[in-house]
Amino acid sequence: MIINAGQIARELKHPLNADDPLIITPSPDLEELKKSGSASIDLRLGCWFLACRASRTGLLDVYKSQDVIPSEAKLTKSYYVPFGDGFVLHPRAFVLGVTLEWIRLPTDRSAMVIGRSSWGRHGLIIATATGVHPGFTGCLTLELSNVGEIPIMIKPGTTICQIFIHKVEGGDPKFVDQSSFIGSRKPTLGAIKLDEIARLLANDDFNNQ
Amino acid sequence: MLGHSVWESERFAAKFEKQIENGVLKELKNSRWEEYELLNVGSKVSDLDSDDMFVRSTWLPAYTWALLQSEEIFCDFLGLYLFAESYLHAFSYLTSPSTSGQRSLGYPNITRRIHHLVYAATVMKISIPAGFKSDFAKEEEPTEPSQKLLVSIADTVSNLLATDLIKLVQDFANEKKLHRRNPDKVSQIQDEFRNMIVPTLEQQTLTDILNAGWNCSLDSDIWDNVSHDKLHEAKDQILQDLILKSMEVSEYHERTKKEQ
Repeated sequence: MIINAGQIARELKHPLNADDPLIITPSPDLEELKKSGSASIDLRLGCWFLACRASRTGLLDVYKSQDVIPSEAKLTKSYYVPFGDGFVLHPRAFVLGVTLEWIRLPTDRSAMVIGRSSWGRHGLIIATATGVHPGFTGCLTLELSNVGEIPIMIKPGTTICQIFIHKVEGGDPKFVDQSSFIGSRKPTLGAIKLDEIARLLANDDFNNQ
Repeated sequence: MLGHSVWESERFAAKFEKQIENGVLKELKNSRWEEYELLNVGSKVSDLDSDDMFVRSTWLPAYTWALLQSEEIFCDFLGLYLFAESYLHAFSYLTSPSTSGQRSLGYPNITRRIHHLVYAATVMKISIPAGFKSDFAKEEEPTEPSQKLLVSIADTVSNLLATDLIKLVQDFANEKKLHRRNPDKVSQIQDEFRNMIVPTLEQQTLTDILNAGWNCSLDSDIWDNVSHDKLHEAKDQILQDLILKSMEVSEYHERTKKEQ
């Protein structure tokens, strides 16, 4: 069940469970939220960007041994853009951004982040419905891509995406491993983890037997 | 860097130049004349008051070092005033047990720096972390006789200015209405870091954020309620994120407040 913005505003102001509150900081304007009638909250663009270093890597092959996959530091370059400054996203460019807001979800709430259609119509695509798990705390990494024909200037503090918060039913807080959901204030590439089945299916030695 | 910029922009050196010159000459004449005479054979006490550049060059290093040391003491006191306990934690983290080799002559030796910091902390009602004084090792003093004499005079002169320098920092801070660490705010931020693993929810001062961060860093029981090893392994990284994000949140509130 998606929680209405007015209800979110009430939960932000008066947490349902003081030991496990929903937190968004910096906080949105709660009075505006109550009146909005919306089902989502707008989030702003943060100050950090992470771009891939195209010249360093010929091919990203996650099926190789973890030892030979380049580290995040080798694959990417981090940019800090202070408030007042901007980042120009050129056509067909892809960069990771981050929300300005640090979000903490209680163990009975999950969330989904999607772009804002007004940006999308200008060619700026933000993520592909990022899921946020119960117990998460941190800033959300955004996948920003300019699929339009003209460069787009984006500045920290701009409302760039929206978050829908859902109620999670039937969960047991004791099974929420919060250590897995500690985010950062910067965007991160993260590792692509292949499970055992994917590894077995991708193994071409089997074809040669 | 902050202290040096203030010292420079407020032209504080000018307040002490004459006092330091007089202090160096007084110390030479009254207490160290015999050592000085051994190094500068044929000198007379009355020569010290002359403008003769060759005579001045024999004691000028002591004046220069005393002035530089006073600037460093000022910077320590300003840092202490602004950042309170967190300044002492950071000082210890960065400089203890010692920087290698011989002491830098433009600084009071580490033993004296610690003595000044402890004294100023007491005056400013700042708690001194347990074991702070014993964290530091003695530094090597210079052995070359002339340098040894002159830096010892510089030490004596700059040492006498400590009280004046504390007052200078306090007057400057009052005039500029600088924020001081607020224990209630520190405790509130600490609770946010500790209980929720979130940065500060409101606008807070840099000093309160840093003090909360240090308190959490020194708390070995932090996040025991979450009880996952990965959290403890990443403690420094998580705290760094919370501290820096808190500063960003505070900047956000400051900038949006101004625009209203």
